[in-house]
Amino acid sequence: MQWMIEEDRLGPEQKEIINDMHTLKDKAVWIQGHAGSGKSIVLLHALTEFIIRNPKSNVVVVVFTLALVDLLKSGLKQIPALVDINIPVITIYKLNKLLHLGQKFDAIFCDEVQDIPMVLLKRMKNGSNKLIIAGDAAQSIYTSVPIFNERPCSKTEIITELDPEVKTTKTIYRLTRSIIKVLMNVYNDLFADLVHIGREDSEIRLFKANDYFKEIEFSWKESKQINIDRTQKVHAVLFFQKNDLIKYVDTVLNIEGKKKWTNETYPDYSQESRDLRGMNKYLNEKNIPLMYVGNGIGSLDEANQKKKIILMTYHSSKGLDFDSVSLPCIQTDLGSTENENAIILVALTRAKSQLLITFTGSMSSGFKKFLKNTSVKNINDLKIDSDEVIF
Amino acid sequence: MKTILIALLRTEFYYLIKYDSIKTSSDRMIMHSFQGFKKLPIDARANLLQISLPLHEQEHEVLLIEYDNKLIGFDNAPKINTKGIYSIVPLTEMASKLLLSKINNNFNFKSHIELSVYKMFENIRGNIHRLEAADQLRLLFNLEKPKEDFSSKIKEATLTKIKNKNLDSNNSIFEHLLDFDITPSFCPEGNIEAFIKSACLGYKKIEEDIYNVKDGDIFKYLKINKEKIEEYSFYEATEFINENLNENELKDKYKTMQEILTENGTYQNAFFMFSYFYHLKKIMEINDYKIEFIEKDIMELKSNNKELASNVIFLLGYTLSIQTISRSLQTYSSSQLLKEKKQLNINHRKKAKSKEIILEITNQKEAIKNVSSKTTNISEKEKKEKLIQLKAEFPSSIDDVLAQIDKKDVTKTTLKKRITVNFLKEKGKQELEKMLGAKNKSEYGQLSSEFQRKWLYNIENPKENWTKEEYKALYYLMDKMANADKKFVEEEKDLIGKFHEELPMSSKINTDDFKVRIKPERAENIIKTMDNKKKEKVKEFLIKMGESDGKFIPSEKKYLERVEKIMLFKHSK
Repeated sequence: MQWMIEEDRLGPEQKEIINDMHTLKDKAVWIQGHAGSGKSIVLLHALTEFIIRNPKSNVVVVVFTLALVDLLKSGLKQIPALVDINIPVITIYKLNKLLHLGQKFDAIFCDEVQDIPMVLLKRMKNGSNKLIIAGDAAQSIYTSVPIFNERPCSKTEIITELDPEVKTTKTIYRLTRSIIKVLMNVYNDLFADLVHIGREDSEIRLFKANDYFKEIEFSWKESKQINIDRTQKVHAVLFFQKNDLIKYVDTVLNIEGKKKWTNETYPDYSQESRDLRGMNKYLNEKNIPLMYVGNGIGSLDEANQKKKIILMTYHSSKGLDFDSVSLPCIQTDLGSTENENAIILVALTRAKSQLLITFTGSMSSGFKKFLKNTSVKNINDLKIDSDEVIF
Repeated sequence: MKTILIALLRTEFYYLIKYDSIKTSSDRMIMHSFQGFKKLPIDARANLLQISLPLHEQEHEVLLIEYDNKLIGFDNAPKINTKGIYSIVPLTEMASKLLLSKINNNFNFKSHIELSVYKMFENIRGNIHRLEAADQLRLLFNLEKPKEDFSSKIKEATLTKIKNKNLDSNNSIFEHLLDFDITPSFCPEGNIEAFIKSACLGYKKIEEDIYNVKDGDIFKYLKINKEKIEEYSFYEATEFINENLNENELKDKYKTMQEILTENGTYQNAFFMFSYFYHLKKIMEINDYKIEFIEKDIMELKSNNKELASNVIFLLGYTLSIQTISRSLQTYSSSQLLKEKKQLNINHRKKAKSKEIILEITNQKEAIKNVSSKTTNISEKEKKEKLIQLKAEFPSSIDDVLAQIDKKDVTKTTLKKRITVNFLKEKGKQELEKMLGAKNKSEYGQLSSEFQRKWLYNIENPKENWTKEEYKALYYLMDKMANADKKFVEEEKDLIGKFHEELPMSSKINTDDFKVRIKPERAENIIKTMDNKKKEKVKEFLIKMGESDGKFIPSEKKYLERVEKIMLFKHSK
């Protein structure tokens, strides 16, 4: 995956942050910015600059998920200055263990800082001479960080704890015009990059169904077809919660005339039904091109090689990109989630080319805010008059 | 106090604050106070900004300072210091917000420049960058400038795009072209993607829903022929599509689409120009805007249609702009700065009409059939002699095969069946070599049949794609038919052989497949549910079969009637 941008192609804001980094000596630095503003890229370039200036230093890059470990590793390989240097990229859980065991680092480069708990933030501060963090507090998507079972630090807590030099990049480089337009309904301070006119835009389609089965039948048909028509691309179906994902899989199996994965009723699935590794195996046996990826189950590479559509939760998809994305079931209430906007932002910003959003009845209030200007079609109205087919 | 405006990069401004003075240049100075500047006409202000502002920076990376004219010093260049700064003038509201968040908010900020002035400045600047890209790309490929009328339309279309207007059928096709820049989910990837997007553009121009394209015949035609179109270079694909759509029942629909896209004939090649544009832009986008990935397509287009190549290159360069392609353009530069330098590969083969060799399918089939018939019912000794003779008759190299093909006469009806030597050499090379290495005639016959089926008949019957099951069902019917009059004459045998050769398969089929015979009910059911085009083919074969020995005996007739009943044909021969 070629996503690393060479330094001479970074935006002026990004370059400025990197240039300033070494002048800040041991002071912590916090790189802030919206999704798509290139925080992770700036973080890796800051790392490169640090390594060049401190060739023998002991550094580590920390991210949240295993999928992001792969992504950042491949990003590092694309930086010429780091080709022969092995920079460890690990998850927050592994770093927590190492720090707990007393390991010290010359520098820690931590991505998605908004999702880490205070205990780890303190350990990072104490376990390194230089701490560079990237992330936007407004983008925190957890109410409780898995395994730590603690809420993530707030912006104020991070500032109080680290007193960092805050560097903000406001220009959105990665996202397309249409996606930015949708996000601007909620985040009105986004600032798009200049060179956008020649860049292909995303297709955003929003459909309403009157019943759940019809919705999934339509969404699945679209996903399956695009997976056949566009085999070189990566396609994903994302859900807010795993229960929705399991229900979707069962419905797809039903549509395809196969036995369901579980006989239990949504949302009361037992542990057995929630065995997503087992579900992947079952889908494989039934020849359904779907694979769950997340929490160490399934793999992006394997799904890609075997031409399978990736099933993921919004949370696990953070930091990843897919060519086409389906977001079914956006009627699901995001409940008491504090950072509803941040979670929806993650879901809406994963698609590079095609974004298909569907819901049964009415969409959740959270999504409604973002999609208020997007036209909704009813899947029952899709039959067209033959007069409208010109050639 | 008389003040003037001076344009500074934000970083220069930081240095000015930090070190109290910096050198600047006279072309950064606008000899008006901010109040005086505001009184100038909009275009005058936009032009002054264009002359004074650094060329490639974003709006929040540059600012204007109001500076006391008397305090400009000189040290080989104009020198300014903090004491002379009267106020800061941001370029836009957004720049103002961003600057305020980045620099000391104790400074005296003036309101930003009027939006209409900045937009006009941005358009002037954008046009310079776009023209630069179009021009450099054109020079790289040694192409002529497109006609003024064409480039003006693209510039107008770009302005419309920048203004983000909602378009309708009154807008030009070029405005729609630049506006339509998504890949709809129903577009299969590969060569056909660009053609389908051009078809969508036609729908968009007449204000029809682009998603109706997928129910149209042109889309269906392209999708059915996807694999074949994929095997061609993009230029060959345009030729293939043009020839086939012009000569089949889609001719009228194809004409309608072209009329819409050409805006009643102004740009005859519009369908291919737009398809090329979408195709090349997509390749650039997925390959980090590296020109090397489109080099071959452009060279091939250039060697066949220079004017079209000029227009496509202008469209591409102007749309992508210099910021996007400068890096790749540099790799072709002769600058000493670069460690590695790329050169255009000028040897991309030209697909010139004069060199194009026409393959007449019927004659080829006859040749193969003759070879096959010569080999039946002969002794081993005769076989050996015949083989020697046959080997002598066979061409000894691929070039010889193709030279033989070249000698065939070209008729209007065979034009649509033509196939280029280059194509055969490239795509069918492996099979041709295998054919030449055949150990005996039967192997040669089999290989040549396979070759023809794969590379020739697929072109002849682009809409048909027979499955193994359908093939077997049809074989079963023919077998029954041939045996209906209790004899199996040579002509009928030949027809069964011909049928083997003529139907393009969706998957490979060999003699072993016939060891497991298909059940009559299954065969009939398959025939029953075939599409009408295939049914016609079945009927055509069966009638030929009945008539093959010069008569149509009652038992055959009866059998044909039964089949017709199954197929619900009205034919009552």
